[in-house]
Amino acid sequence: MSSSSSSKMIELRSSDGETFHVEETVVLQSETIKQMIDDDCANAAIPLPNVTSMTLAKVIEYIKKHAEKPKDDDDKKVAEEDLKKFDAEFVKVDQESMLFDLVRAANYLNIKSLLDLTCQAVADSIKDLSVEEVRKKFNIQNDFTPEEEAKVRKENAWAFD
Amino acid sequence: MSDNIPFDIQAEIMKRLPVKSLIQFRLVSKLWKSLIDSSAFIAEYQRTELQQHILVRDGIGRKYVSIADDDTFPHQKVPLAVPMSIKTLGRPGIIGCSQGLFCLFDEFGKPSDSGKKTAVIWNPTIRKSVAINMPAPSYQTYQIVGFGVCPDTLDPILVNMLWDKSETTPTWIVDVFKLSWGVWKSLSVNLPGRTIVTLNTERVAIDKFIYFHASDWSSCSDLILSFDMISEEFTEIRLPGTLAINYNMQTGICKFGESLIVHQSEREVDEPEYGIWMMENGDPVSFKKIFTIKSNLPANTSISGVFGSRKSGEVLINVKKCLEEEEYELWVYDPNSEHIDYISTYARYFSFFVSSYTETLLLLDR
Repeated sequence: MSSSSSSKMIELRSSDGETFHVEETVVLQSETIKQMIDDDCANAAIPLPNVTSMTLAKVIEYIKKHAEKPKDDDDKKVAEEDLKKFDAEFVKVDQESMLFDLVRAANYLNIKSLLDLTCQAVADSIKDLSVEEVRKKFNIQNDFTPEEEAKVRKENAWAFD
Repeated sequence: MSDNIPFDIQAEIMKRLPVKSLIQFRLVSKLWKSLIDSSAFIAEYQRTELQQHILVRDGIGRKYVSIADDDTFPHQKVPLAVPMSIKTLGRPGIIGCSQGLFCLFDEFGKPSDSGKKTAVIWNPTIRKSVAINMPAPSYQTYQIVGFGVCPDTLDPILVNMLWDKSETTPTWIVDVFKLSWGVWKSLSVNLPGRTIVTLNTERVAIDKFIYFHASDWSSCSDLILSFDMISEEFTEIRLPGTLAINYNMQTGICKFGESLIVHQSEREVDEPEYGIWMMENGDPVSFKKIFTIKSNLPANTSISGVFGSRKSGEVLINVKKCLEEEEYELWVYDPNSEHIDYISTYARYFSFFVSSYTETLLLLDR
């Protein structure tokens, strides 16, 4: 593969109609897009009806950073540390809805490392919440009767101390 | 939020929660509860990066403490609730730890009046335990038990070995128990050789093997006996050179990360050094000395054993302090910096036990 800067560009279109130009080598981190390119469906702009421009910009920022290749082993260590820092900062988003959007986008675009990162960030943010708060966060209806709820609670009462 | 997170992504998030949160979140909805309780989820959770802890049992053998093995080490300590099933065992030995489960059993204890002996498999993280009826030995037999969790099926397995001395040519009688079977099955082929005797109480479960520290009395050499939990076969692993035969040295085995190590120290010296050999890829020929723990300890203290390792690769060691009376302490040794650090004093007696373990949901569906 040529390492020149003239790598093939792929055009992505967000749900709100904005287009983004990204190098093919970068965008291949998305299994979904890779499949489209392999199937020769990427001659025109690739429509991503599930991803807003704001989310897509974040995703592109992520895959660009993760496409950087270190030159040698010394460089590799520095790059790994740098990437760790980047990941930690990346999931510190102002709005929680953004994190959820990123989880959905990572899932739809099938970018495993981004799905791992964002799911872990959500898990870290909910692990100390109450059951009621978790229901609210995921918009889940409590379908237990009070009797059933008491029974489940009793099975592992220690966890609710 | 504009729209909801689909359930399959919720499941991805759940997989990354600590066990305690998962136990609470069984209450979120029936769907969450049925997923968390499912054997498929329990098995998948086992393959994620699990939170690690160090279990410490004090010298009296009554109190169990869990220390979080993360950046906070050793400051986050919690006492573990000991289930009644374990309390009724008296003073059991800890037979082994595998995939976050512990097995406790008193090999030297007498059977109850009804002729029964009991072992307990315990998941300290979710406070669940299962009692197992053990084959009780006659008075002329020597009993040794191995424990492991098969990595493929996540089935807890016990191996009961009876050395029958009453016969003119003693033989091994071996029975295997799998929690999924719920019964004992005797093994008739691929038994350990007649000249093989398992030594003391050291046994370690790693991957699909349970390793026993053993000796071959026909050649007076140390070896490792391995039991394959999948094929149910024993294999004798011969140790190289001075690890096999050396009368001035004390040898032991333990788990280091996901590898088996053999440690050896000189007998009857004040400040013994501990040589650490590692077996790579299950291949005994590749036993390699990886480092030596040099004492470097304050006066009146010396290393008296190796327990295993932390997630970081630091070695958990047992340090004996000889003042008016003997005390045992937990220290950690960093092989890279050769720095040694005191953690705590736990013990006056020998039931002092330390092992690293992972959080697990195993036994939740029991």
